[in-house]
Amino acid sequence: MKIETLFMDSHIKPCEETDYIIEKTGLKPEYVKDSKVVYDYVNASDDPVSKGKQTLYITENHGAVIKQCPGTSHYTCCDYTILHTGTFCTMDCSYCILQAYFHPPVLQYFTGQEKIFSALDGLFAQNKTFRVGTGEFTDSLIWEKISNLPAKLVKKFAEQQSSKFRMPVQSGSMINPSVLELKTKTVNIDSLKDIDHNRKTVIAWSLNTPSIIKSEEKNTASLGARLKAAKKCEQWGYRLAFHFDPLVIYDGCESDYKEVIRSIFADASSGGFGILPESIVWISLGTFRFMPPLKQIIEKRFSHSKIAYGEFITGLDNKMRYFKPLRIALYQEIVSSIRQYAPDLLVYFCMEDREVWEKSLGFFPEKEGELGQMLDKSVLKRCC
Amino acid sequence: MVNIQTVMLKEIISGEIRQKTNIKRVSLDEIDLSDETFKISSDNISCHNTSSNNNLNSVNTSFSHDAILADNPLSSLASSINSIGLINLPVLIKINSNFHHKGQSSSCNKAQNRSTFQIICGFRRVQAMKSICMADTLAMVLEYDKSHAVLEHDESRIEPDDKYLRSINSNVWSKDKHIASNDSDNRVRRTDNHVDSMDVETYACCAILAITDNAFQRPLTVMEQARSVLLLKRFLCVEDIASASYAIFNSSMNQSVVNMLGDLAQMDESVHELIEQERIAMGPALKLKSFNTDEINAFVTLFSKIRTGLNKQKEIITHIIEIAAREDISICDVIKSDDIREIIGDDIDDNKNDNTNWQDAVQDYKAVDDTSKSADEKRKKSINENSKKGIDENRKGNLVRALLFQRRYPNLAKAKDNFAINLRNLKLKNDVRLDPPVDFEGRDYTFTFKVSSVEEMAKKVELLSEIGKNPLLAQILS
Repeated sequence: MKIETLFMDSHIKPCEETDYIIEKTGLKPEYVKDSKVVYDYVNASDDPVSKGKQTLYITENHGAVIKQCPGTSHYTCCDYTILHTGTFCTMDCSYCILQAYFHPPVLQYFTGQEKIFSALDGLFAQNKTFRVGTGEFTDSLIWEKISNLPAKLVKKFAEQQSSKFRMPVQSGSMINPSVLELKTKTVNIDSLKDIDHNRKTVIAWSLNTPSIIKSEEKNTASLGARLKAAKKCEQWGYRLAFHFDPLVIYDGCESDYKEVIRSIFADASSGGFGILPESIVWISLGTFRFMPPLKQIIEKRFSHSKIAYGEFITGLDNKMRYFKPLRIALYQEIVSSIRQYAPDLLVYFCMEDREVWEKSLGFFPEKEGELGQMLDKSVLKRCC
Repeated sequence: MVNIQTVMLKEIISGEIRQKTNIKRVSLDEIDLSDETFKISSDNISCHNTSSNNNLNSVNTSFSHDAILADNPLSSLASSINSIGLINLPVLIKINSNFHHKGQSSSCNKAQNRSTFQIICGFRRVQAMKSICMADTLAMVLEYDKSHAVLEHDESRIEPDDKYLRSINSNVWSKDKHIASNDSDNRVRRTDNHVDSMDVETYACCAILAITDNAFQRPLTVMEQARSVLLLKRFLCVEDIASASYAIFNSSMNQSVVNMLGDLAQMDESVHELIEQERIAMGPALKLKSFNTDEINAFVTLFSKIRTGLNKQKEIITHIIEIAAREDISICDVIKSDDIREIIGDDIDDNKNDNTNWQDAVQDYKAVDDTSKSADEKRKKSINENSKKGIDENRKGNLVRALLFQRRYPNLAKAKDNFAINLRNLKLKNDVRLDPPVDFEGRDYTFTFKVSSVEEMAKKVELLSEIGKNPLLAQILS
């Protein structure tokens, strides 16, 4: 959705960062002393979620810049680190939990790049691999059109080797490097082209079948466009990741998802994009799950969507999940398909339990933090 | 800012209105029974009854009162009035004698034109008195004089920007027009012959009297509350109705409840009847408000054949909506499916194929494997047996619910059926119970048993040990 209204905290002093956003949006900001003005403006709409997507609020992050992924009880988490640079999204996916997560949902850009970089320096100093992502509360690359932050973050992670806090090792590679993961459904990659990224940025795409993209992922790039952008990034030397999340179960979904996998790996002569398995750091799988209040929002905002009418049960974390045998059956099909093209590629589940892991992947990262360590190893293998 | 509506409301509620009423003897022929504008009560006396009762006026008065009472739905009230007299007087309002009756025949007009009083409170009392051929009655007569001060708005008390109040008269009448237009689609059953001749203060006063008269004698039913809210919404906003609810309804309502009642009042009369028959609760009924007439009729037919509690009603409606969405069929198709008709005793429509039966319907939507087949067979057998006996409405409700669950969650239902079969085959003794994880999401199955002594505990341990060797248990746990 196009940003139509721009608010900015009146106490924020104009700087290069804010001037860049104002220029790119082409909007004259309305200066506000209190965020309540913005929230009231959004809430006054008949559809605050849509209004929130069209309303950009330049403000400051008064909370923590870096957070650990809260995960969920009873299901295994990958120990992701969240870099909190903004909230909400201009795209309009029916299943997006952010619709129910923020009250009200507003597109917020947090100024203060120094604060972010300072927090990252602290992270780099810990001599530990962190997988850091900006795509938890927003899409990482919707901002690329109006902000220089994504490109600056890529450079920041690339330079971590020369940080005064980190000791370079003999080969020039690092012990326990951290990586930035930019997770997106856009194709906004132009500003990342000529950056010396030092392979410390993973550009990740959330993938789905063309029918789900068409019916449930409004205003997002097509599957073909996403994979074409991924191929470009591969050619620019970036490491890639793919997230099949949410996997949606519908008649014929297995063959559709297999076709998506084929499109990733098959070469151009076979109609695929020929992405090399060694360029891919990981692929995650997660079937659609949602907090119960999201169902009403989907029904109200996407009346033609059937996504909430799957065979859902209440999971152990009180989120709605597909009946477990259905999840396992789909995972088995997809894992098997990925293995055909990339037998050694790290595939993991986002928020699944032992039974699902064992029946779909043949093992379970039982120890605390074990999944995170698997992913860290993949970072060492692919990003150094 | 003074809220003039609240001021008006306070004046009415404070009882000052009583100063404007006089006790008078009124001829019953002068009372217009056909105007139900202020009728709140949910008794079953419809306009038809009113008409037939009106006809009693022409009955030869030489008939004995007892003979008339025998066929009268108001017989106990009439009998009481006849033998004890009227304890609470009806409240009437004197109306313009040259009012125009909407939608009534000329023959009716002749009789109606004699009427000069509209009923605010006491519809049943007046009907009862007419049914025993009484000629007149004492009544509290509201003689509203607009020049009198009580309800007269003092312009100086109105804030200049109180646009709502300034437009209140026009709002009332525009809403009346709206309601009149809705009459054609049968959403409002009450006739309101005299509303056009009333100003808003008089109308407000009458409406509040009508509601409080009922609400302070007994709790109002949901539909009575809904009708009351509809009356009040003509001159009060939702916020004011909620804040005045304790004084008017004898119970507190928040704005959300007021809104729901208002929505309910606008729904189809067939839904109102279901609610009055306590076949559907307000919450589930409101879920139907966005559906078209055919869909509502299908739901109404279904709920008129079954009886379930509130949560099950919600579940049934939700499952029907979601099955329709999942299977890309209409809601009517789901409700009119052969298997549901088989259960409820079918007369949803006239297109039923008599050759279809439960077995065919089951086969249509479910691939039955060997293990679940026996569960289906049992269900089918149970339904067939029950249909012969004429199963009661509660059981029909449970069967419809089970059927819808099976169709909405085919894999989960099948897993539950399989577990039930395996459990039966495991032949646990009565005092040992095995429960699966909820919806088979977790991995922990639960054995439950009771012991009252160490010896009994030892026996149970032995028994569990035996069960542990049964390959069926391994099958269940896998």
